[in-house]
Amino acid sequence: MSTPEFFQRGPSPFVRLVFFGALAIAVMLIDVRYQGARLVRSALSTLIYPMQQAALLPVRVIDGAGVFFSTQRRLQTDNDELRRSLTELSARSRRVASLEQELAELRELAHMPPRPASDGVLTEVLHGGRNPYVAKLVLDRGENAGLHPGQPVVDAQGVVGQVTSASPFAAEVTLVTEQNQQVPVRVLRNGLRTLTGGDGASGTISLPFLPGGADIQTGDLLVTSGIDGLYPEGIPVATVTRIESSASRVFARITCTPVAGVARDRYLLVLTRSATVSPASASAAPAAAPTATASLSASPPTAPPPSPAAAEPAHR
Amino acid sequence: MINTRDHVLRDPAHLRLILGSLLLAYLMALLPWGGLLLNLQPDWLLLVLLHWWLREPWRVGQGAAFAGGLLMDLAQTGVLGVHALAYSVVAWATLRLRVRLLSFSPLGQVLQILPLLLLARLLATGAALMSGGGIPSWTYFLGGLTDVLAWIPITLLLHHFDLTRSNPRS
Repeated sequence: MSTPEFFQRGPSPFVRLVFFGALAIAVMLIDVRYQGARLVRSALSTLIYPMQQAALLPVRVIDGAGVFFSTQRRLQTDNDELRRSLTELSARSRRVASLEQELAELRELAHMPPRPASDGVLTEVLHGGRNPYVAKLVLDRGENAGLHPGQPVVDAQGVVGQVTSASPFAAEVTLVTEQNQQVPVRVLRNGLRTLTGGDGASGTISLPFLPGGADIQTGDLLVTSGIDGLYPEGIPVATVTRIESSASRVFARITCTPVAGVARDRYLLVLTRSATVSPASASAAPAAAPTATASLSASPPTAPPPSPAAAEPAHR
Repeated sequence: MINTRDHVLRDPAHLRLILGSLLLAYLMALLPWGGLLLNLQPDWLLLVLLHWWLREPWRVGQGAAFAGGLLMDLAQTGVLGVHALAYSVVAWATLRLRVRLLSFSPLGQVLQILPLLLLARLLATGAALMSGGGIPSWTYFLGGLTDVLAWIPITLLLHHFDLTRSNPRS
């Protein structure tokens, strides 16, 4: 008879602790420092994907049952509401389309680069993320639907966050309320530019880089400034709710509430086009150029010919 | 060794039971918990691991801790290695205290394992903080209490299945 297995000890527990502890720290370092680790993580995430779907199944069933038993009257109300907003929005969207064309023509006349257009992928929030340290949302679309890290995520009201990692079938959104998440914004009232910074667990946003004397008031709306080339210009981000400035501090303490229902939405739009804007140059500008040129050809002949310089990225 | 508790001299647990319970615990962690429940839910996988560290230390040890921690990191979509580190340390501490812990009933073990479970949460928070995360809300640490509350049914249930399996020698 061989030795009972409890006499075969192997390395001592402490040696194992040192080994696995060092291995864990190495894994952490590699995951944080090296981009290549994303591939490994994406592959591993795909491995646990079936289990995740299985775990979501009971919730889906309960949700489905809820929809099944929702009353006729509620459906009717919802339907009316949607119909009304559809009429309203389609009228507005027709106006926006004509304004967009006009703007493109004017920009072309002024030799300004066309605004990068952005396309969206509509996604559903699978769950609120399970990470107690960083608030995230997990979406039901991933790389296969054209989602990539860096793309902005919006809802009907405003900016929700940014895609920070994507596996083939799912993507994670880090919310604007997170600590490391910054969005370049401007104050809609006076065009003052600054950066936001999330406050973490409290669900608010602060403006850490505004000096005490900055012209900002409670109730000001902050919209994206678009100077980063990631977030398209003019999407609402937050409203200023509280300003505390004291003589002892150089920077005012400005608290804002996000405009979007950051952690409450079910459907989110991921803006896909703007991710093609690399940090170094606005490569999306040439991509959007053909539409602008096409619209120009329909404009009166008094317009100057489209110069190649107009399509060059001139901003930043 | 006649009048000892049943866990000292007994047949090894079925591998199926071990793997099945670990898988189930992982699925519990994968449920879409949200908001307050996310922080207050017990650390299912750690509790089941803890049970097997006490009962089957020769088969479920620090390697399982590391692997389970990595899986938790994947589930939480956090930085890989955060929970692997926390679980490895707690596994070592549990294996050190194993004989002592086994001399208590599950109810008596509660006070003994509470520090271990809190240590896991503290270590994970520290590791997440170092790798760019934020500090979770204080309810996350309150989760240590739900951990020990869940410990009693989990360990009793697993022990029950362990003892009532059919024909252990086959």
